[in-house]
Amino acid sequence: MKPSVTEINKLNPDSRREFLKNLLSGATTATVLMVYGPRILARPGADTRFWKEKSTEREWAYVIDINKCIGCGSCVRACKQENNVPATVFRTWVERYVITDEGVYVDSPDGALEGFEEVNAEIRDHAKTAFFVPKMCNHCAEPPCVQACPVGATFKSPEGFVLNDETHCLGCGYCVQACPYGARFINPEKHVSDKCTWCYHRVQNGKLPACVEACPNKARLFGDLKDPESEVARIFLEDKWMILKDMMHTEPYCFYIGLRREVL
Amino acid sequence: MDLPNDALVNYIYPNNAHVVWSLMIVIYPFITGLIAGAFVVSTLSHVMKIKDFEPLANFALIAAFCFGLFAGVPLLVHLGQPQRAFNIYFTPHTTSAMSVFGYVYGGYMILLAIEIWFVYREHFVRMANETRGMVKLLWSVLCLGVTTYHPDSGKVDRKFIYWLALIGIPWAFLLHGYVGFIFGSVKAIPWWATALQPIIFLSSAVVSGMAMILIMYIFMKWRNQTHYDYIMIKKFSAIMWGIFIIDWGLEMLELVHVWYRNDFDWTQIQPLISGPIFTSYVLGQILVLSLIPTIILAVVVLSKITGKIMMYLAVLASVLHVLQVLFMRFNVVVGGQSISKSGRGFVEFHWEVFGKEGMLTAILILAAPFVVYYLISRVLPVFEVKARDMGG
Amino acid sequence: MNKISPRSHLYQLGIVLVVFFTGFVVIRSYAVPASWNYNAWYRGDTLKDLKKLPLNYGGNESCKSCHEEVSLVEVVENQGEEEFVDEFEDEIEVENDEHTEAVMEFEHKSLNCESCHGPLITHAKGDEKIGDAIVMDKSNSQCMICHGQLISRPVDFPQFSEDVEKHKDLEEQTLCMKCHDPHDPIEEAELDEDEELLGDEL
Repeated sequence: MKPSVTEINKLNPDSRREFLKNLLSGATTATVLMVYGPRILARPGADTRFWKEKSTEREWAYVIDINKCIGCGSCVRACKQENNVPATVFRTWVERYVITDEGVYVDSPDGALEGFEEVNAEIRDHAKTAFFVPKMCNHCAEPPCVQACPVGATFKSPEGFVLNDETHCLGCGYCVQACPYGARFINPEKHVSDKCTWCYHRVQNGKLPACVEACPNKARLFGDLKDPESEVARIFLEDKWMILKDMMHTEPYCFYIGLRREVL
Repeated sequence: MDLPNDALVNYIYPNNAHVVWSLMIVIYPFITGLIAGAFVVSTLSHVMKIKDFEPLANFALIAAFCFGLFAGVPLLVHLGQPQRAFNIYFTPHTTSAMSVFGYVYGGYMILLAIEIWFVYREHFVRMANETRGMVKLLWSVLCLGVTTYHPDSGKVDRKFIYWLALIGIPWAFLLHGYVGFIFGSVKAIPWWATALQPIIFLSSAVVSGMAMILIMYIFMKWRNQTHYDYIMIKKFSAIMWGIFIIDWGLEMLELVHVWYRNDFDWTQIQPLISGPIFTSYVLGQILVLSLIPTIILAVVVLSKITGKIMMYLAVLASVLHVLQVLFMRFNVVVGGQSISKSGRGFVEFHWEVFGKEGMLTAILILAAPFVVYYLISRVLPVFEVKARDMGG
Repeated sequence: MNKISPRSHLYQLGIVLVVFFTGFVVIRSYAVPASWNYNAWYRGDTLKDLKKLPLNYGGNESCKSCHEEVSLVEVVENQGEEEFVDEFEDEIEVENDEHTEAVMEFEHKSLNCESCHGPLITHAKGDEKIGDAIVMDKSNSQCMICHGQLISRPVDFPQFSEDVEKHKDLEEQTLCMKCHDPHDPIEEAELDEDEELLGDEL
């Protein structure tokens, strides 16, 4: 119980000083807890300057397992069909990395829309290791594209989806510049900015994103971090995830398993 | 080509195939730079009361306004949905460096228009009284109905001109400096992300504006067969020379700093400047178009040379300065996007001539302010009025 | 405006500016979308618009909902109407139950039906069939896009080089599907020699 002002005044000077001291330290502790508490409890560093309406019910996350990706491109094809993505741009794509003793070979022919042909003999003979890396919008907690959008066409939805309002977008392209992952593009048919939506329309209707649905080898997972039963929550708990370009402080919500340092 | 991060082949992200911000976004900061620069020239007399540059003051103000009319045009051409351009006024997202553009630009154009109105109001009043019919009506509208010039209002107007010019300086700097901030704040593009960017943009803007004003001034004096003010030209060149040295110093500081820092950014920038933009940046921007005009202006300023030779040298240096700044805009805008965010490759810039954002459009937009200036100079005594008006 | 003072033009200018800004404020108030979210700064109805987008892919669950006899029974049972099931069990149409197996048990059960058969939207609308779920490409490339030999693929994933070493006994190149059921490739395909493979409706 908080003593009233008159009660405080009734106290002798010493205990009043004591009380003020307690009050001060209490207030300091409370302030520190209020400011840093949620940050300590949340994902490390997940300060949400640009995620202004965070839902308390769900926290969607995407997991990509490098060890499982077979580079078939089913996800790319499914994404194109589900979202009517024009041929020259990609909401998701798959990169192939071949680490050789002379350097790093990376390619993504047509975004892996038709899968991959084997690399040429010269690269293959020098290969030390090789793998596929699916890429897409990272649905950052600190999305630089949302920060950059001059008119509020791009935003972070309460459930964590980074979305674009194609009826309000100017097509200025600032978000394209701001995204460190090359995940944003100007739709050549609609002349507005476009991006992966994590298939918002599917997820809100109880389905999985098309790429997750299409993946034959479970290299792509999608789920709610707040649901302890979900696979993504389990992976998160194991703390073996990695993120792309962490120095950019974008706080991605796409987590990679088995990501090698060569991947940029 | 030299490739970063041990890349064996040039790999760019599939969405990076094209440079999104092309020629339109190159000439946009160039034009806003000319506005800021020209405005600074007008304030040399209007605010700092430097008597030598009085002949330039109103002329530079009109020029700034003409450039200003077309600063937004390249943006409209570039936008995917130009009909929604006003969204930047309706729902400006304050976290975005770009969102203030609408208000800063619109406000600045209003300020310029009002300042010009004050400068030429006496002329408007005279014309409204001397003409008849529709023409009289137009002049009367420009006078806002007050078709009598009160003998005491000259003093009031001059006070307003002074204050508007004074507010105009930081405003012009904001208009252009923030363009630098738009680029400087993009952490995803190493060639852009530097806190020096706004200052570099600003100093180069002042150089380009001064150089352009000098070229236009001498051109018009030559066309009107009037005498050249060699002393003014020499003093003006001296200021331009000094500001360019600061500008070039800042550009070099940025480069040396990123080289010395030797972090991830340099792994991208080193191959960029030794490959895709070697010609336009190293040879063009920092060597030919910088060192030659600096040497020329050193001769103009430090030697006792005067007369036509001095003037021709000053004009030559000015042309090179304007080109240097245009190259700088190109190297920043296109150079930055040439670095694919894949970190292992460079995007090729395709020169377009007749495309929507091609060279032809760029040339038309760059030419338009001069056409408008010509039209304005038909109806406004750009040079004459002020000698009387400002003299008092 | 008969009396002209040294400042009368300033009042005129003031009126012009006030009219201009008032007009701007009025236009702006109409131009901002009604559902604008002033806290997170976006048009609130965007979420509704996006939610309404058509679902082209249904996912394997949607295939099962029509093609799996068992699931129909389960649905009713889950609703606690077991008597209803008992009564009408014989009348519930049993349709293509190999699809059930394909999704539930076969080797390729993790695959998305629509990856090969095409998106649901071309096949069914609600419970109505609107088009055949035809597999357009039955060539070997359909298999090799996943199972071709690539150094980048996980080593434990079954891969075959172009000449398919495991089939040395085969004298000429042939269709994988001739012997392998694409739903359950480990089992031999139950196909007759002369059965038409290309263009076959599944």
